[in-house]
Amino acid sequence: MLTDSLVEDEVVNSDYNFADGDLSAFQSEFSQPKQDMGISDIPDDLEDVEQEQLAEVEDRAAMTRHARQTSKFVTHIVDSGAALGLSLISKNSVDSHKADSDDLKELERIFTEYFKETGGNIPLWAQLLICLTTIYGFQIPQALKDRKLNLERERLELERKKLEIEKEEFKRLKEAELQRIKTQQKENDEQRKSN
Amino acid sequence: MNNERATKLTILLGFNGTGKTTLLREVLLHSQQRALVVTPDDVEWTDFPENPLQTRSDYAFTGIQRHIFNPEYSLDAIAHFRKGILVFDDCRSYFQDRTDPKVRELLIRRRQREVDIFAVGHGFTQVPPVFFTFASDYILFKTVDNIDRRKDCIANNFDFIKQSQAFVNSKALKDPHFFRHIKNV
Repeated sequence: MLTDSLVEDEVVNSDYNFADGDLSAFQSEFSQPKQDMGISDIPDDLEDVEQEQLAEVEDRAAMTRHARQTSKFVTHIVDSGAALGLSLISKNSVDSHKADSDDLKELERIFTEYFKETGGNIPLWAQLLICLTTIYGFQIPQALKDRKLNLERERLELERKKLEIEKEEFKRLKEAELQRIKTQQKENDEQRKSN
Repeated sequence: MNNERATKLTILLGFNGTGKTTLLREVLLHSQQRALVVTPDDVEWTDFPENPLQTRSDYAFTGIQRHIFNPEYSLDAIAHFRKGILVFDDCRSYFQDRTDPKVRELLIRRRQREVDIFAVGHGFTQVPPVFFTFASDYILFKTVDNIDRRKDCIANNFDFIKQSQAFVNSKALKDPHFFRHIKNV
């Protein structure tokens, strides 16, 4: 385990050759030519492969690509599904139960080997269907809840607006009534004076 | 005066988002060498042409190209690459701890093949042990794994590298892109 004392005790020993935040020495050395071994860019020991061999290599490569693509998909589904399940138990967020990238890579690697070994793969249409179900299907219950809440919110908003209009109307009537009383009083006062 | 240098095997380590790929791109672009970036999948280094390394002409490229690692044949194909830079990006994804003898040979024969090598990973445990045995340089960004698991294969400067990991991690609290270059003399 690394200790704090190690952090504080920064090394200044000249036996070590290092630079912090600076790669100029490295790049300067890197830009120098390498020892010329008299070889060519194109390897001499590489035969042009026969078309048949090339097709075979390409087939194997395609199979591996397919296995890798399938394993990537399965890993994602497993991770999302497991995290969702665990979050339902713990009541924590789904993200808090997701595997970290290193674990995912390991899982993906093992799935790849498995799919290569078994030749098993999931057709693209099925992957698409599962993916859509996972992404959107799980959101249906939440969408229904949200719909209910949103309808209620809209109803309350309408009610609030209606009340506000009524309040404005009441205020306007009240002011008119006050004005009317004032005018009446004024007329009464004037009449009293004239009498 | 002879300015020729030995080929390098650089171990570049850093957690996601520390800037190791950005730095590596800069190094490759300024190197004036051709480079082949080996990646585990097709979502990285997408701005460079893909090279399947299947025919002789595939080896005659210039600039930077990427090769998506295929366990069926990539190791044999990469062994034929010469005169340039070979980058093993995220190498833990395709190399296991018990490394294929072909990888060891690739590292040993890099001088004869005039190949500089970069092994890139998220941490010390994300690069197979054999790379540490032959490392000429380290570029350390923030890493969070336990370097002690590589103690057996880091023959030189283990204590200093361990100390550097802690130092870089402490600096990364303020500057996530902080790095240290160590020449493994």
